[in-house]
Amino acid sequence: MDPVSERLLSILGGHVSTINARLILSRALREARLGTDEIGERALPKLIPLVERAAALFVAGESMGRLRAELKREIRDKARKVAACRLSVLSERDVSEARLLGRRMCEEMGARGFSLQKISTAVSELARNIISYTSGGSIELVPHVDPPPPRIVIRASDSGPGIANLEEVLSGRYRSKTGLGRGLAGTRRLVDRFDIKTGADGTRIEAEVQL
Amino acid sequence: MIRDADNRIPAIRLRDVLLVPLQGEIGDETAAQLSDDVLRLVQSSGVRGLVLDITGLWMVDSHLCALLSRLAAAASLMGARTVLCGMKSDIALTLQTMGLDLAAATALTLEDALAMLGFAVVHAGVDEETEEPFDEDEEEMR
Repeated sequence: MDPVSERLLSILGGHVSTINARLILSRALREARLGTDEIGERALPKLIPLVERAAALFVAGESMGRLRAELKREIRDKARKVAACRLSVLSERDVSEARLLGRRMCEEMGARGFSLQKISTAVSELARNIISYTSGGSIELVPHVDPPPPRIVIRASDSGPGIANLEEVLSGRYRSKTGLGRGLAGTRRLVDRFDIKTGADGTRIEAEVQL
Repeated sequence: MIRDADNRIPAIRLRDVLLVPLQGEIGDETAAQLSDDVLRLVQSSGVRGLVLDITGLWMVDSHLCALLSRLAAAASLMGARTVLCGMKSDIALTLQTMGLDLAAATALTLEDALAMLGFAVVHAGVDEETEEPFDEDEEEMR
């Protein structure tokens, strides 16, 4: 049997009988649409929430709390291995690439739902600004697990002319002719931390989202 | 059929409604083609309603939001009412947090959207009592 299944079975085995542990795992695998030959480290973040849900049918109370914590630790261990990445943003294709990178990093770190949306959308907005207003720049995604809470830092930098009307743009009053002019203001509202430095030699934005 | 390198968006005519299911990654080229083709179809077919089904979109940012709003506004100028449906809860929460407005009527599901445009759902010859789907999964776990 593959090491990931064995690991999950041994965690489940601390709370339920072997046969139920196998039932839980096979149900989770079926829901994840993964064959037994596809289970690797990569599948873990996707699998664990499903294992947790299936286990809730068999485990209750304090034992379920402990099981949740153990599964969470597995995700943390996996998330620690996720590496930072950097992407040049020069064209619209890179914007698309950047948000897909953001989504993948979230998935690898076990983030789903709203946090995944926040990261991907923020990356998309910042990358879009780079191609709309400058001749090019880059997006860097840096995962942090320790100290908690787990989070992803997005760094956008460009060597464009800077944002002259920063205050107006961040207030959300600004309207661009192409979009809503709300990308930057919206991003600031969306993320947990937002720092911006802009000047004649370019713009640097750092945004952090907790997972 | 609207297409560019790796994306195709079909537009489906359903009586006097045009149904456009958006999905996957929508690049700028696809987006421009989409607006163009949809508005052309609205004009040539004289449909009275336009449904933008975004069930298949995994993300909506301010750019895409603006595109959808513009499309709805343009269709409305041509006499077609636009209803947007299928928005996932996380996307709705994201747009709301960012303070972005969508200038289009919205419905939760495609069925609701069609109902808003005057379609009535009739179950022809199907007894609702016996229609309950049997969930194998649940049964097996008990």
